[in-house]
Amino acid sequence: MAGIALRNLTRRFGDSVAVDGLNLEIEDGEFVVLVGPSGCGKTTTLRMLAGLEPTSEGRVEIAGRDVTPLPARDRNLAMVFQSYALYPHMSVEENIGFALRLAGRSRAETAAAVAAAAGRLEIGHLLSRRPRELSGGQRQRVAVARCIVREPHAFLFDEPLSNLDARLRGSARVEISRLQAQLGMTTLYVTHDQVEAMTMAHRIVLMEGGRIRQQGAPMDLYERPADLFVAGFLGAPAMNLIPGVIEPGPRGPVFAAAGLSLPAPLGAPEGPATLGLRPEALSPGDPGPGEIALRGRVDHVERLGAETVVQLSVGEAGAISLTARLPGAAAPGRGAPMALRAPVSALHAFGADGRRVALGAEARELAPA
Amino acid sequence: MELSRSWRVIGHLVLLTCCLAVAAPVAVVLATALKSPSEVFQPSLWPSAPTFDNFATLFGKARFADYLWNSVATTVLRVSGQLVIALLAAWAFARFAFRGRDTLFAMVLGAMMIPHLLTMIPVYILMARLGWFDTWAALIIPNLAMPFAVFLLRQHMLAFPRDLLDAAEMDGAGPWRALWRVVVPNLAPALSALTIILFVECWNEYFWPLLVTETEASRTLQMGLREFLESDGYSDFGAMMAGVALASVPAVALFLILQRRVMDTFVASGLKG
Repeated sequence: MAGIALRNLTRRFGDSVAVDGLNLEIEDGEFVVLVGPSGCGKTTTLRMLAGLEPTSEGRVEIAGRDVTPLPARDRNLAMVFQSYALYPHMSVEENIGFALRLAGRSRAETAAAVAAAAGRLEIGHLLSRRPRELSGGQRQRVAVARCIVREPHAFLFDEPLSNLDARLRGSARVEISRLQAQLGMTTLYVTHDQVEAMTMAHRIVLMEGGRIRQQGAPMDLYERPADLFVAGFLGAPAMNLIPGVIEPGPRGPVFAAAGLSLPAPLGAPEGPATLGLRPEALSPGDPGPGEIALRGRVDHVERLGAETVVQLSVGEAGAISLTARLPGAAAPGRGAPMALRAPVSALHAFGADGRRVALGAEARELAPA
Repeated sequence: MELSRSWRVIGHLVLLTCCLAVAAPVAVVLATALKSPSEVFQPSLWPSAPTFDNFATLFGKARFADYLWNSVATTVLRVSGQLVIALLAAWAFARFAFRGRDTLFAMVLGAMMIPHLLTMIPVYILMARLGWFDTWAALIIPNLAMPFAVFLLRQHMLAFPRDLLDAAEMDGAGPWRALWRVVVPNLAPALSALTIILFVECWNEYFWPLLVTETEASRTLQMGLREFLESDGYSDFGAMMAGVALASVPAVALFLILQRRVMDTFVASGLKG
């Protein structure tokens, strides 16, 4: 395994820029997830690293060596494709061993390596089958086995779970994470699914418009989103974002929006702002010390068993729509009034330019005792 | 939509007529091949005493074995050459971006539009000047580059799943190995169909061998069959039909062998989830 560095990586298609001066370092053994909406440049970045896409500018380094001019076959990287890209005319065994045979390994050596990789992924009984005789989950395992058998510098995953059903996706996430930890694989994983990013990554790199918007540990991004885009992208249901204004009040600055008046996070400058509040920060009941109160009417209820997701209208004439993630037992009726509370420390404030200006938790740390 | 009973009957009658129209000449050929010379012109279809004498005549009197060898060898060499050249040209057009690629491909398409008969005389003169007249080379080489084959394979290669080519490259295969180890095995249906077309075209070719062959040493089967029409002013239709029946066997066999592969579109079925 080896570390990877992408330096000022740029890819242009005519006038449009798919990846714009991207800089990223991946440590040896690190699991980095590139996440972002469709068209943000994450797959193009992965393909440039793999050598499947030419770079317009910039450099790709693997293990400290500049590999930018090298074709994919000389970079010693392994990739799991979204379609799995298993060779239809080969058996599972031939698929897994193909790279080793191309590299000139003997039949016996290849067979031993294939058996070991297949054993690790529990697909030893499928070796004689053709890809068309496998289920989606089995194909995905074969695709992973094809990668690990080669002992490459790093593993690249291009949305490998998007063709699986929800249940299988959950177990595949666990399996890939475990495998990555066991083998200490340097991994770059591309997905548009924030759940995959949050659950698997050592570090999330969130992209938009060909650039990195924010990177860091999953909980760092979740708790301290750098801007409105990151705040809105990570989290399901998405963070409640309420546009309004921060103005002076009798007991310090307040955030005002559509008849709503809430204590503003300390340190947030006065002026137009957007207040952010995660749905799970809201809970039913009247506020205690250090909490804000929100009263509204229930618009819609989604009961998911372990939790209930409620849509409410709050503020003057119900102009503000909020989502609250409540315990499964909470069963408000549609149209019923509802009182919610949330700790001030859970409030995020974003300035007019969309950048985060204050966070309740940070404000509390800053506040005089 | 379900057809009414009367329309179904009419449909079956039409299809049956078509089948008979195709099968009747074949039946006449087979029956005549099994008739004795005295029975050849009898109106009954089936011989009263079927005999294989006509087949014996083929290999006895005529140099049928030589013609068969010429046909088999030139067809195998020509079709193999056509497939290899078409594969490599199609791969170059489909896989690589190079200067003049589109112009070259337009020329290939243009060549498809030129009737074969227009180029026949210039090529004939070329053969004579090269001293290839009455040799296998004249039967094989002028027909090696088939624009239609290049076009057909290029279209299939363009439609080939991009991920498979990328996976091959990640696995360490260069363009050459990707072609032979990944693309060609998955183009089996297209290659099978193309092989049938090229084989039948070459095997049944009459006019070009008529122009460039003269002696028995290079004469092909289709040319050789003519002998039975003229030898000693007497046409031996029985032997000729036996020859026709035997000459049809390779083409029919090839079709039966490759037909299943043509139907088998396993590239798509291997990838669908």
